[in-house]
Amino acid sequence: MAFVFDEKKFREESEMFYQTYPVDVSALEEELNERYRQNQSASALVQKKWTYEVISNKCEVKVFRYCPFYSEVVTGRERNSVAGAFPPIPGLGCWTLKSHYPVKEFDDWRAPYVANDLILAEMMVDHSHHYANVESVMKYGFQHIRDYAASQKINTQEEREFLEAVQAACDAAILLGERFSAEAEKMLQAENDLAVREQLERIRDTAKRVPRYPAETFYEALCSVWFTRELCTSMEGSGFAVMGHYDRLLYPFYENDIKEGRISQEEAQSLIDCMILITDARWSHTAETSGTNASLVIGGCDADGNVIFNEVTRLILNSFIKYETSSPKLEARISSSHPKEYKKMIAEIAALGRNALTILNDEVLIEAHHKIGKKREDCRLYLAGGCQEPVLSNECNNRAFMYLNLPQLLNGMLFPEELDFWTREQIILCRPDQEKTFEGFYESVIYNLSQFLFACAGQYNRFEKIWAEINPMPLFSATMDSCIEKKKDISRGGARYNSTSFSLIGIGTFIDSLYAVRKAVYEDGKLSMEQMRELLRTDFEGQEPLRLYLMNKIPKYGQDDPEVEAFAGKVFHDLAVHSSGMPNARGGYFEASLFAFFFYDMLKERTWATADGRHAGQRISRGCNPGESTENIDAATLMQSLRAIDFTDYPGCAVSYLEMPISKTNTETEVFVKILDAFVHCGGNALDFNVVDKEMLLQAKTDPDNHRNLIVRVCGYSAPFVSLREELQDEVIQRTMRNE
Amino acid sequence: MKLFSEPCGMNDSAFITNIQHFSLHDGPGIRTTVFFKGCNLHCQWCHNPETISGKSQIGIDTRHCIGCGICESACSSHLHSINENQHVFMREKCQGCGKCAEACPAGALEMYGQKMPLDEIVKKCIRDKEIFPDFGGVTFSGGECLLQAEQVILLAGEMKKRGIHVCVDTALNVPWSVIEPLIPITDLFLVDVKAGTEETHKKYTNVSNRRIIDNLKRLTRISDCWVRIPVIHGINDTEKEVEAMKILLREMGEHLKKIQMLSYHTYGEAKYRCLELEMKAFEAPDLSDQERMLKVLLETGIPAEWS
Repeated sequence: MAFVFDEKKFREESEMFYQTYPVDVSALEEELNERYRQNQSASALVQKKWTYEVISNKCEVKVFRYCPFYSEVVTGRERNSVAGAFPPIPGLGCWTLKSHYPVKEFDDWRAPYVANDLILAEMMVDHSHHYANVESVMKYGFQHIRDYAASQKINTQEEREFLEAVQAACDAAILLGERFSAEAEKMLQAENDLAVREQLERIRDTAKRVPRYPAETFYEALCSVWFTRELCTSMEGSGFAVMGHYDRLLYPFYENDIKEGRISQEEAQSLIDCMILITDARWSHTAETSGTNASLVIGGCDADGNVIFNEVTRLILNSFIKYETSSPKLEARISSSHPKEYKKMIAEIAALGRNALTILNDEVLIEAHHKIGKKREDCRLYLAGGCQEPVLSNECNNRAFMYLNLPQLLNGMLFPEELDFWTREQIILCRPDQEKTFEGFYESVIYNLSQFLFACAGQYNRFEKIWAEINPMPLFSATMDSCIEKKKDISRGGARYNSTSFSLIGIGTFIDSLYAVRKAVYEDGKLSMEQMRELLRTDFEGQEPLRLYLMNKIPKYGQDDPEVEAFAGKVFHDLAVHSSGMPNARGGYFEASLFAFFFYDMLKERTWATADGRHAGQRISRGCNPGESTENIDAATLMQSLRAIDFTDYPGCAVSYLEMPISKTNTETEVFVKILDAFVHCGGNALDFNVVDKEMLLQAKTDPDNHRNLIVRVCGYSAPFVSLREELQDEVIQRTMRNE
Repeated sequence: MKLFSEPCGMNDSAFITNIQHFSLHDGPGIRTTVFFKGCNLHCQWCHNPETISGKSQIGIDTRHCIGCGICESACSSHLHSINENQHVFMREKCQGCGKCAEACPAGALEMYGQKMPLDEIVKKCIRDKEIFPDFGGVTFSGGECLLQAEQVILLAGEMKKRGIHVCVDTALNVPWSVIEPLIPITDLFLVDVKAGTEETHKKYTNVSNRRIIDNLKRLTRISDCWVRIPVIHGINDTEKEVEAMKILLREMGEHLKKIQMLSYHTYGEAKYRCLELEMKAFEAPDLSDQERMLKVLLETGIPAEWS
């Protein structure tokens, strides 16, 4: 009998179960603590091994009656754990990290910068946006990986501990599979519903084999990739936002099953539907969350560059059209070679206002990664997730964990005494305000910025080294054959590629501020440099006409002014050059990135006034968008503004946000198709839509109960509108109005 | 025929209020819309009041005025003054030079109407052709763009040369000889029909609809048209009016491809305020009126929709 997804019963069942979270696991934690007390010299690798043993032997496993997938291990995780795990979150997965937390070196370093809103740095390394290479588990199985690890020649104690921990991780995965199988068998004793029995038998027969061994069918492949990512999330004390490139991975199994008559298209659809909804079910959307970030990648191409758009892509897109979810999000890779049918289905999701969608331009992102020395075949297999953070399948990225506020850094250059970001980093500041020409001014700014980023890279390289000592990830490492071959944990640089990025925030405000200095001070002589500094220092007090002049009378980035657009192109390029290329502690390099999550809104408060006429404390710009007060930006003009910029400079992603008000009548799908084409044509990097109208948002604000399904995107962050705090709600409403 | 005493060439200008990119409501697809200034209808519900007068006008948004007085010195005729934070403007003497709006940092003063060289208009109109190929195009709207027919002809000709789809949004209240030369270079006419009966048309727009209907009949036999009806509750959505509209549209030629109804709205309120004009209050049709009207107009056999 084929699997038929009983959505209603599954929702009831999962809701009831997840309401019991978080479960108290303090007894097991105490057991681990005791073991650590007995053996204080144990390394973090050994600690991780213990964790795997305790979790796989002692934590309850949950099998659902209405879901054919098995992965839920009750480790004490919270329901809405964002998969970000620094500072450590509840649950056994974070036990090792917790035993070393807090990290004084990190807290001491960041404190003064955080206090000035110069950086947002919750995590010392990225604990959110990883991709465990589920493909290798699907292909080889944990048994093979374990055997491979066991066969390596050992030279050092660290190598021994690492390889033993990898084997322990594989053992844990295998044991848990057996326990899921046994649990299903146990449930079968009391189960009378025939359809449910069918599912339980399926789990009983499959879980003990997959992912221990390679997947052979579509169902098994789906189980394998799903289980592996969930297991990493439960056990590693880190975040695995990227679920996988499912249509590429699953299609060969689907094709084979169809050929052999093992599955029907309907059944495959049911399985995909269920997989989407169990991902969503983990989130309680009524509570204020810090954001969901599970991401599913579709489209794009394979390692040889052949376009991926197949029946599995359609099944996934069908699910996203059918269900309004905020987790998982869909990361759709597109190129000019993709068929129109693909773009139409994506456009349909966009036009429906399902804002759990990111568009990634293959033509730019593949080139961006290739350009910095990665093999083209590897670049073609890039994924992305969390918000839009790109990662290759054999890469460990520290992509989104340190956000740098560009406008505030510029303020630090103009007011080095009040905003001293320099002395502690032993930077001798080049004073831009003492330059006679704008060229000199600009060069000083870029020089200082470069010095600061270089210093930050040095600091973060210290923290990366500490990472390996407080939370190595042998299970994650097990999914990458390079880690086993190098006998190195992922935190030590075991992956094939090891990248780090500082996310630059506020480039729109930064460009506008520099351009305002150029026009008002150096070209038009409207103000002296001293007057400009005084305006900024006093937040334009008593000088409203001058502030408005700077804001309204000087052209802004995004307004289709050729001179500003050319200048913006230069700034984008220079920032990319100076925020990348430094070596990191894992044998990789820093890569340029430009996105913001909703942090652009969190860094505004202590950001001084800026020369574009922005008051102190007001919003700074998002992603690579124009400033927030720049008016009259329509979709076409926004697309056009991308053309002056070489986005292949940004392998770490540069995101454009496009607000598309829902038209009361016919927001034609075709309009969205054309925007997708235009985006690729204009050489954009990543694109997020936000389709809402003002009325709906205002209603949702006053009547939240009836608008729980309204999902909005706040810069890569999908959330139910009603769960946002009022200030953020107002911000979304205001943006929507501006674009109407 | 010449509406202008001077012959017009590409070096000349058109008198416009705005060029809107990414317009989704002025014809098929994604369009760039040029709003010409000046109109020979005076519809009482007009939502673009700044396009009615054929002269430049200054709009004042007092909400944005900070009382800085920069406009006082910018105006050579001294028409602006700030008295106890009240902005006083002698509008009747204004020649529309626009110097005050240019100087105003706050964005409180706005100049409605500028002479834009035709080559600059062409440049803006062709900007998005490359990113949205074969989908959408350019719409000449207003005001009544056919009051500047010479310019529209030149501009439309330039668009055609580049393979860009051209819509002309007009009330057709001009001599047929003005319309005729546009036919070969216009892909679609968007014809605004305000009321079914002459009486209502005249009462609310100041002009009879006879010439409009005659032109529309001729045009729909030759060239593709959509009829667009702004629907104002109690004025042109009454049973009598809708019936008259139906009869009128039934007589049109086979090139009438679509009837679009647009519900009355008050989004133009701010512009009335800035022009210091009174905005007459009207009502939008409710859903049942909309359904009734749609049903009747569908009886013409022509596709009809609410837009």
